[in-house]
Amino acid sequence: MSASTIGIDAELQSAETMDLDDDTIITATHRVGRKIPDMVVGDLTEREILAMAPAMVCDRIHWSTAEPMDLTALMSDLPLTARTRAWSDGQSRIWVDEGMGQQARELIREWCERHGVEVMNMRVEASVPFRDVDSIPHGLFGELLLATTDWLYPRTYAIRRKLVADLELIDDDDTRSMMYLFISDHADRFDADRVGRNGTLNFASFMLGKLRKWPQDAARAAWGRTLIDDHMHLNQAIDESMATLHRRPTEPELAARMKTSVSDLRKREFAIAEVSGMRNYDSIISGSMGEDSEGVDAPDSVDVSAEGTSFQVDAMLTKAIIDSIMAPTSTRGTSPADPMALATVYLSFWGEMSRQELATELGVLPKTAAASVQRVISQVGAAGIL
Amino acid sequence: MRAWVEGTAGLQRVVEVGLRLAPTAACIPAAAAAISEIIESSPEAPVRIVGVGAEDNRVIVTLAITVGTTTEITGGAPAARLAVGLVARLVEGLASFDPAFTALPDPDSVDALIGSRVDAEPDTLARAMCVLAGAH
Repeated sequence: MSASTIGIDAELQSAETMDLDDDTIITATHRVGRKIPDMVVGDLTEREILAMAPAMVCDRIHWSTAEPMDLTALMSDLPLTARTRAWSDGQSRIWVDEGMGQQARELIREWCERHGVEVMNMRVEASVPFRDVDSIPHGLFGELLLATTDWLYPRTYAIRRKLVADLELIDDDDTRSMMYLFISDHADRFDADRVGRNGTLNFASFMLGKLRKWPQDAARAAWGRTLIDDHMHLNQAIDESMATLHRRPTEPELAARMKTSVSDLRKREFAIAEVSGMRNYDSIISGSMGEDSEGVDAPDSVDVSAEGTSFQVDAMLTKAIIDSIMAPTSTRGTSPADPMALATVYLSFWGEMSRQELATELGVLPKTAAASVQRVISQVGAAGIL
Repeated sequence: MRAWVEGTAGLQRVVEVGLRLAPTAACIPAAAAAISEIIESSPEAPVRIVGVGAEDNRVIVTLAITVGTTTEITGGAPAARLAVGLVARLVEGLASFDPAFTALPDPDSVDALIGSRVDAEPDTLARAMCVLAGAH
């Protein structure tokens, strides 16, 4: 990707109407944008730092193990030049000189057998880029990653939102450290000598380009390529229909746009719905909370045999829910009543809506709806009502 | 039951919550008076009686309280906050009658039919409640 496609269109003006200075670039849409700055750590520029670990072309041997593997002993026993570095997925990777990949794989396999290490899915990828970033002294590489993350993080809100929306186990708080690791993993692919129409591509520009596909790639890794692609194509087809027909397409229309049969379309939609249900699985409702969570007893611990007691128990539960919704919190300030909490709890339990339905109706993320319900249930549980 | 109705704010949906009151036969006059009073003194959010019926030895009065449109709710609008406050006030003020959240009755049910004929005037409500308590 060239820098021309990733400039910030902060100053969207026609290129013909203004004089260009050093910081301006012409974007792919022929507008004037500001160039993303080079990162500077201490008094060293990113170019000087990355020059300490120049890009090489290597063969990579890549595998996974049941337990995390310390590669130090293996590296010292290998009779050829090999390099390694940590990767965010925790899998093992070793880079050797180009053309030595197959030989290195056999050597590694033998070593693992000798040492009783069970390896899975060991493969060689030939001619891949590599930077020996561990050879950059004084933690400069880590500081470069930090500086790049600091610059990119506030400017990638939409990307972060999509990541959080698509992957249930990721929260907003996680995205900064994930972005750091993402940038670390992709550092090898950065070619500092690549020249585009706006000059040389810099590190943050390159990473911003990579980050654009991050949510899609992460979702594909989590849920499978086929499913996520189906999800994207379905949404695309619905969007196209909305734009041309001004209404949601019928099943036959959708199937025609997807170039498939109605029965196959239904199967795909069902698979997507199943995964969506899994993503919004609620541990409290299903009664399988983690060991470290606040204990909430199952409702059958309450004696509801007497009819009068049943009314009182319902009233007690309602009172506890309302108290929780009305309780002041740091985020609600002086006006503590929380309509979102009331709506989500009521529609979940008395409206019998799933998290997905609830989110759709309220126009919020499923995890936002789930978090709202969960907050109330946790407080009610902590009060000993459940 | 989904508490969604077409609202007055364009095509936005409105969320209503159902609150069930379950006074015993002996409490009917007091309950009717209290319900009427609290409905009439609650201009901050629409409250209406949507069901009157009986269950075991209790008379069941179901109130629907409009919390607001989805936009007001998700945005924490003052009107929606006031409505939540009203629900809290109802739960607190009518505590003697075991107020509890409940699904809104099916509009075609007998309870809903009776509820639609009963207004918040205390005598009317009390009469309906007494009839139901006696009939049960």
